Amino acid sequence: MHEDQIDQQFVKGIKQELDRSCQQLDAATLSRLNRIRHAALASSVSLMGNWGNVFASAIFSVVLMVVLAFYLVPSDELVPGNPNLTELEAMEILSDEESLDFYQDFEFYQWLSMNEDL
Amino acid sequence: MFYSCYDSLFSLEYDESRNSGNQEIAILENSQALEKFLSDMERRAFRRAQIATGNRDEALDIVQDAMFALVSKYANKSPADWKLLFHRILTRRIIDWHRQSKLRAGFASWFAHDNADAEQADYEDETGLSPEQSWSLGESLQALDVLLRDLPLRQQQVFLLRAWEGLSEKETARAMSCTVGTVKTHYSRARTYLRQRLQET
Repeated sequence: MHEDQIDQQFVKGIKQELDRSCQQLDAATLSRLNRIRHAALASSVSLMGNWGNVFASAIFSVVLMVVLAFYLVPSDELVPGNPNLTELEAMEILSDEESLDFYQDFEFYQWLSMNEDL
Repeated sequence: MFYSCYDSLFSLEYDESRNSGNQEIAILENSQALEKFLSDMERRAFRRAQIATGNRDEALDIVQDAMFALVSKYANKSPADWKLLFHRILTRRIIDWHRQSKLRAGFASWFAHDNADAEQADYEDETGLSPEQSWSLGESLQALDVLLRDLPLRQQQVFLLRAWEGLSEKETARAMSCTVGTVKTHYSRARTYLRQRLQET
């Protein structure tokens, strides 16, 4: 017999033995395998069902961000109660390191500097 | 006007229900295909892991990990891809288990100062029989397990993937994350070793 044929027969014999071993698995092992498979599939169904929720959450997040951006981004409109100040300037003052007292007394400092010049 | 609005609303609702119905059918079909696939694979996967670990419970844990990983990551892939992906995951889990058990054995021997016992434990199967003893008892399946377990892990897994699962050299290389040349070498060495041992016995 040719060497390749012997080799093929040898591999075939081992394959048959291994197949036979699968048929001879005990009931406890088969039951456990069955439970594992069902648990895995159950997790798959819940994962697939969650895609709808994920999609809805993503849309909701985008809408929320757009709404927040619309309301929170400062515009060039004038601040109510202070006709000389735009919203952008107001934000600048609020985020500046200088204290608010400095801006409240700003006119006084201007007057002081003008008098010093004189 | 009212009726046209009503009609458009109704048709929209109808389309949505039809789409969600189609989606549910697709999920169900996918789930059934996945169940059939796992059902076809589970016994052989378990045996592969059992041969590699020599322990039933460890093998079941490995199969469980592999099934959950396939389902959670690749359930939406084409069913044609599942086989190779599953073999790849299972092989990875088996190799990880082997590494960890070696590490544990290393620590155990370090603490116990008994290297000989630890090395023995590493190669011992549940029956504690050598291949010759198993053959003499006429338990061919058990003996085959022992012989396969005697192979280095990668040789053993390459042999099982090629000879038993019928994967091509290229597919085996992908499942084992190695080159085709390595697969050829491992497969050839495994065959030679097994043939020699079987002839001896």
